[in-house]
Amino acid sequence: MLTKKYSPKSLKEIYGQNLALEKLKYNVQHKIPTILHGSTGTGKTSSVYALANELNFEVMELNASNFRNKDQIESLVGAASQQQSLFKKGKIILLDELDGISGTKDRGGLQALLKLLPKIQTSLVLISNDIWNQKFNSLRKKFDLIEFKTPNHELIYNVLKAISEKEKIKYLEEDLKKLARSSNGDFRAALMDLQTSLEDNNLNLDILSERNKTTEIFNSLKLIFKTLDSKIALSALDNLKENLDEVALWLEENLPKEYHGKDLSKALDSLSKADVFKGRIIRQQYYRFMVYQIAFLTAGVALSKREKNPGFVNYTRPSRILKMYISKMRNAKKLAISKILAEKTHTSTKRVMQNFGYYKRFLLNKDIVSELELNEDEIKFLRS
Amino acid sequence: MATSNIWTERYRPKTFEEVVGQEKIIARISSFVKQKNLPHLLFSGPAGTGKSTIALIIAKELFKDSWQQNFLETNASEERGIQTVREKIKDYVRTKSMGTDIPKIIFLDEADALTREAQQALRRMMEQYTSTARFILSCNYGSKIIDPIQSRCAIFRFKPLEKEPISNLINKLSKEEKLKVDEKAIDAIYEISEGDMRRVVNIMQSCASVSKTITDSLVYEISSAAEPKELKQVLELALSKNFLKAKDQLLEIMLKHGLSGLDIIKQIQKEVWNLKIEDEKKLKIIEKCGEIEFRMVEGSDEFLQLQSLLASFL
Repeated sequence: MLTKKYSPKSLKEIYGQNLALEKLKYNVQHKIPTILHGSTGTGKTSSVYALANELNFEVMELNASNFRNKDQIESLVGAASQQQSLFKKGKIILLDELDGISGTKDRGGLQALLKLLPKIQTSLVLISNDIWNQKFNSLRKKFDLIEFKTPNHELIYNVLKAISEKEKIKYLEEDLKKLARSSNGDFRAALMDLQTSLEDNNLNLDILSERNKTTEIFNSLKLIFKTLDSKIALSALDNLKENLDEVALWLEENLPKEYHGKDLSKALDSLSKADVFKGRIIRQQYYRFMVYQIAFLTAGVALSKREKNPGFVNYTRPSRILKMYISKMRNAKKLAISKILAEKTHTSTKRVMQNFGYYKRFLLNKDIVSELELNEDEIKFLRS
Repeated sequence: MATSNIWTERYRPKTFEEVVGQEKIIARISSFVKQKNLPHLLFSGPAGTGKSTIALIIAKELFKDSWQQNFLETNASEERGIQTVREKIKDYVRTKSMGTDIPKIIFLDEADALTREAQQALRRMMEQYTSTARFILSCNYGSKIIDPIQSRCAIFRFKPLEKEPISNLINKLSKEEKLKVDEKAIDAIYEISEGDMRRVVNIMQSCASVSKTITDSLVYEISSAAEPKELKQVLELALSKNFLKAKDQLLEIMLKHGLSGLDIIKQIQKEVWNLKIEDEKKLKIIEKCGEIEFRMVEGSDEFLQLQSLLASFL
């Protein structure tokens, strides 16, 4: 198997992640709890093993298939963190496929991990594809986050080419390029595709058509943004794994890159209408409305433009959720103070927040500080 | 109880006589209290007009020293689900009052934040437990309270306070706190407060923390630092076709001040009239505001709706 044979054994064989690798190495050596995140096939798991190899560390891997709830986490992580390794210099506890933990069914697992965290004596690395998922809210605060960037297709092409040369594969350059492109930044998928397209060491892409079953969100966006044909737009979400909420966020984020002026205005109006139907679905539990929601998300947005933007646009991940998260952290103290005030003054937290500018001026009075029992952090926040 | 250092509490009226600007309402309610026969009450009206204050006074007058045992205050905007109604409130109303025959009081502040399901649950409780409990609901918009609840309540509409009671209050406060407040400063405070007593007192305490002499320029300075006014900038950015920046800034404002989409749209409406564009365009934007507010109520994602409003400026 090419994927096995060429899976990276040393850090040098992981491409396009130099910064992340440096940081990872530092964190492992200094036992800083770390989360690696990024899309699939960018080398997260491989890099942990490669690093362990280089440092002569042992890896204790627990992946989603075997660790789940509180008890299991406790016994596995607990034991692993206390036993000394016999032959190796150190140890890395690796929790892979973090996304596989269910927030509701595996209740207590993440909390147990957080509780154990101060006691863990070894390097701890977690891996996730979607670290901004809200079930990881409390986890993110305690870990150092390292992002693995999605590599561009040229880099993947170069790697595929090098491998093909080495394996003496006969190929057409454009076929390799096609492979690189359709992998959407996933090295593993690219290698897998290369493997499956081999007939007696000849590259033949005809066999491949079956594989790309789930469309990547990028492709759906491209279909919607670049077509003026309602039928094409309508089918853009057909094989997509992302749910409609996520699609709406992606569309919202990337719309201003494709459309401008009146077109943009019309397209956002269409997203707004889609959202109205979503609201109705939630409130009335009437799922037929989804048809209309999809129509406005796809055809509605597609037909909002007079002509398509011919240029290439690099679509980016929705940033709103991330921004909201960061701001929430920043506003946490304000919220805490507002809660105390609201209770004292017979009003709501929300109303205090809205008038915080007035309160802020006199809260530092020392009688008020002691009346509200504000703590050091809160006082510091008011001073800033 | 020791007096609070927060003026809104220190100067909160403690008797019906001290409440200003709501004479008609006070007359009716104090007669209920005198007869010790209180119906369920629904107070609707804007913030800072005396709704919570009157509810507190009712409890104190009815129960005297034992008012705290027989009065439950919950703010629906903090816990707005059916769970709260079913557990917290139901537990409370099921038992009889302590040391008296008068039914205990549940004060549900900002009841318009309750979900419809929660309101439905409440409605049954209002009938079932009339022998042990009375409800006082307060809300900003009466229309958000379902009809069956409205029909079970005596409804009182609170109006924003007029200038006279507000300037009386300012004078009283400045006497107590030894402040100097001139006529122009009073005008300024009144204008900014929009008839909201809580805000009047907060502005005063804010200003007083800077100087014992309060002038109109101090009032404006304090309030312009305190009010989220960057919204105007957002609108101007959108008008100058800088959509991305407008959108980013809008999100930041909402998050920083904890504002909801509806709060924002309310302010946009006010701000539109001050923009430097033709009146005709202003009217168009207002129309769009209305449409977006409607969609916001119907839809699910407030920020998306606001973006679509901003884009209509392009």
